[in-house]
Amino acid sequence: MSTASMAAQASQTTYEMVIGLEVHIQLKTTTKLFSDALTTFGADPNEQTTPICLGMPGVLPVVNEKAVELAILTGLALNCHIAEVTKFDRKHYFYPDLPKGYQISQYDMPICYDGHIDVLGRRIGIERAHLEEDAGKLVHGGADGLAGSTYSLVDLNRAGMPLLEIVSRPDIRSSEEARVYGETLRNLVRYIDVCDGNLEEGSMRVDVNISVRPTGETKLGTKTELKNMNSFRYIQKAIEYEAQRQIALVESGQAIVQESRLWNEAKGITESMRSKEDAHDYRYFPDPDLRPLTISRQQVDEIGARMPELPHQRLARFKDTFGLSDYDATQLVDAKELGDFFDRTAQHTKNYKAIANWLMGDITNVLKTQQQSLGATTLTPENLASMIELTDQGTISSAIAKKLLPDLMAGDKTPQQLVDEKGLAQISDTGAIEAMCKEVLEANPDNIAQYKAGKTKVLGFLVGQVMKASKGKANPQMINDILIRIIENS
Amino acid sequence: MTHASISQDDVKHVAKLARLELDDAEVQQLATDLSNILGLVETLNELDLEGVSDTPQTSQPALYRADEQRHVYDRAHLMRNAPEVDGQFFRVPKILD
Amino acid sequence: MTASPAPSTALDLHKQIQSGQLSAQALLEQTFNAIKAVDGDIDGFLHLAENQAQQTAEQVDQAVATGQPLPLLAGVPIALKDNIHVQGVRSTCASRILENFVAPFDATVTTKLNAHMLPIVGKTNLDEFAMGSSCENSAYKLSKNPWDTSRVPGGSSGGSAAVVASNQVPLALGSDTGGSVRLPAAFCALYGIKPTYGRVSRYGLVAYGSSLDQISPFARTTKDLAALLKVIAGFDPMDSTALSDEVPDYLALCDQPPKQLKVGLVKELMDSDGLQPDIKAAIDQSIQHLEGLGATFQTVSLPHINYAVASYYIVATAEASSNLARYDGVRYGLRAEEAQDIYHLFTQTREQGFGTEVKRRIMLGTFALSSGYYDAYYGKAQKVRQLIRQDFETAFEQVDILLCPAAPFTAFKLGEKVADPVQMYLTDIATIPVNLAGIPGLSFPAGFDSSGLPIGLQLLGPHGAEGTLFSVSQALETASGLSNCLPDVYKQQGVAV
Repeated sequence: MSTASMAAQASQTTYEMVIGLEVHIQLKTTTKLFSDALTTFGADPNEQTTPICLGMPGVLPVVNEKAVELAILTGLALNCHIAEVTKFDRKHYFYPDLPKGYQISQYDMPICYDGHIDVLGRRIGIERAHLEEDAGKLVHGGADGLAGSTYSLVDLNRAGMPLLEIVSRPDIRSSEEARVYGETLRNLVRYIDVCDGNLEEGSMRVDVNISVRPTGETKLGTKTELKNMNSFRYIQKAIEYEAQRQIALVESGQAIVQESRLWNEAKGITESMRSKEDAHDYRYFPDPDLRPLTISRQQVDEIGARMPELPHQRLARFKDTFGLSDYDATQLVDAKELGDFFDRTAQHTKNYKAIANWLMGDITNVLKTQQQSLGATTLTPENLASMIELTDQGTISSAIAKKLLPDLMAGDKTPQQLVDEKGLAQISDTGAIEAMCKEVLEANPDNIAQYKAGKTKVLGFLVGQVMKASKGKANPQMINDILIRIIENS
Repeated sequence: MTHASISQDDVKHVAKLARLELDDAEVQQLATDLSNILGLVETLNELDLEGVSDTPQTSQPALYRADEQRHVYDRAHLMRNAPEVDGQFFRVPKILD
Repeated sequence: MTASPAPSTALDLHKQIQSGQLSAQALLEQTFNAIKAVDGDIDGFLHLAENQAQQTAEQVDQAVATGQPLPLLAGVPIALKDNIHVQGVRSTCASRILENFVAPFDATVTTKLNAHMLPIVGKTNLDEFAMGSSCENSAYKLSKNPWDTSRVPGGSSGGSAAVVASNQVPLALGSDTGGSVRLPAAFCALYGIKPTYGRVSRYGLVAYGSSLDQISPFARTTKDLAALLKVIAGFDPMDSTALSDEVPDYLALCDQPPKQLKVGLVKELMDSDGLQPDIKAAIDQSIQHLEGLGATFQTVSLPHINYAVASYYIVATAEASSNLARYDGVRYGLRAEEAQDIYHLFTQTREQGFGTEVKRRIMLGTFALSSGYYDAYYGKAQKVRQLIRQDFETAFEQVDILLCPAAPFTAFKLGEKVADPVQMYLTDIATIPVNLAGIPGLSFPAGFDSSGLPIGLQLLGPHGAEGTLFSVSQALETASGLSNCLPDVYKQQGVAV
């Protein structure tokens, strides 16, 4: 169900779901938020730590200027106000992956606040975006997960990585809206190159706060938190289930427990995390080791001037400037690398539709098969444009063009060079084609009779045969015309 | 809201927050000690703090760090003081959720 | 006073090493002999660092032999409080929870001392995690006041004070959060200074009250003190709270006597009933000395000073409870054995590892920050702190420095105040406001009481006024003759040359 109001089973009350998303994004910096440990992915356990990451006695934090810049850039992309003064606070709880026994975060003076993004025609408010350091990772031993494990292993490589926590207002009203909000946010952060936006790998993490209330009610119901949703599909399914679960409870007069829940994909239900702890008392106070940051308007303007084109801006431009269809433009905007490539190729040829088709079709197929990114291939915008031009001019057939693609993506020759070397130029010589047609017709006399009897479809077969004989080089339109002429004159 | 005296239940609650396993004698003593200290602290209520800032105005600008690695540490050296290791990990007993 | 030659000052020793008269290694050997002879009675040191000190001394002699110029204070042995890291040496903070913790990196001050080639002979005793005023809260040793070994040396940097005051070393570093260097200095007839907050890097100092802590030097003369502060002060990119202001030449400033000095006498600290009469007499004596230099005096009021101790014990303990949350038995330090799960690992490790006073302050600080109490306690205490800061700013509009006691009494007997925490806390009534305001405070010897116990007084200045404090202190030192004070019994042992 993706409509905003849902009718309950028993009563006539319609309910609406009220949703807010908390998204943590890992910022793409070289070093951590408060130490100069590297952030590169895939290092051996505890290789990327300094005494600061390990929370040793005597260490002090110093804030990474790049993380602050990326936070401001993200805030601007989210239409947020950037605080003139912002500070860090300590958030206390005890856990083995939290080295200092507190996380350096931001409490009441976040770096960004009061923003919005538009999703499916509705404006979703962004309450705040704040900087905080990540915790380490735990591996549980002696069982398949936390439950039943007899010991745990602590890896602090991730401890101290810079995160930006983006909190939406509870403006979202459907599971679809939630999914699209998440996808929009992901595209946005990838576009401005502040985060990889990968839910599976954990560079982007989504928690959903959801409550229900009778439609028209303004008071909020009790919310639950759905944690660690690692795919947008699951987010949508989990929300649907949870909304129904809450409505059922409300309808039967039971209270909704404010708690954290996980999505169980196998069972298709949400389950309570049943934490042994009472609600945390985080004992926030301003971190005395860090001075407040004063952010000048000049600094904000400089960062804003570096803002790359945002997805919605690119979408409009692709449609207006290049005349691409909404579908094509959307595909290219969603796959940023392809969109970037489109832009560069469009400087060398005006057949924009052809560029789009190539990128979305054959090129994507090759990338999928090879498990590669476009940047990892040798394809250049100039070569793609050249190939399109050659095809449009009739120098090569589209079939030949398709054959050239693998070479263009893995080799360093231009299309012209390949055509010359391999003798792939399209055969457009009438005489030559006529000769090949006559050969094929002589080998297939029955088809002539069939064609004359009205089965015009056999022409396709005959054209194919001539193409084969010409090793794909003969101009198919010319083959077609010449065959017809010969048959009709015979 | 201030507390003129701290009860033993208060002490037990705070001990949980601070992860201290206190014995009964300690709980009792701390209830007394903390109450006495807070008695001293109660004097702060005599003051009118309307309009007083709780953060110092500092002219010292914030310190930033360039986004580059400056020190390289040897992992084994940093883990020398670890009570229990398992390969390259720190090892801890089970975590009840 | 005996007729034996006056014990050497740090600067004397440095000059002798520089000129080749004395080898750094010989001096170091004498130092370790003195430690062996004396520290059994004093219990100032927790552990020694013979090898590292030896290497440094060798470097110094090598430099002299090859005619290289020596940095300031090179070759002079120094002791460091055991909450300041020296790589490869234990930093226990006098706690069981860090019993076998070996520092994996140098504190920034240690790096500076090494660059100046001062041999670091060892780490000294303190109140556990710097929490205390008498040095009686150590898990390991009970340090004694060299002037009367039945009495406390003061705390928390009692070990550092004791080893300088018993002539084992001429210089030491401590840390001062609420008076932890200035109070022991006063109890032991030493010069000690807590610099302006941020003047000395805190990187490598195990944190207690982050917004209050400063590594602070001890010496037996003003110039030694000034030289040592010059060596350790300065900006540090590893400490976000460190000042970027240039470090003045403190040593040179000692020789610039104060002119037309306006001195404020703090009404609230002078009128106090609890002020020992001998201390009042010592103040009068200091006033006379300064009048002789042309200083004028006026009474100033710090109206909120009586709230300083209350404010401090919320702010410092709140920060402490946070700073000590990292001691959980996971990555270093003590780990409770046979804990059945992580929750009990935490609670048992911390229960076993922390002493009574530390637990008391963690509990108080945790309570002050806990849900519903922030505004009532921490928020309120920080506001009161702001008022105290303003009191000092107002005072310094009228005067250049303030003269006041360092403590309401002289060194008390071991065990005398341990039963009543509040009584112990009130020891710091004259020193705490200085940390709350972040201004510099210098403790200087001003006489002895009728029992022969040292009396120390304080000079306080505005932000960055260390130079003025040194200049006044030097003038007082010259006038009073209270220079290089040592109990008779220690004048002959130790490093007198």
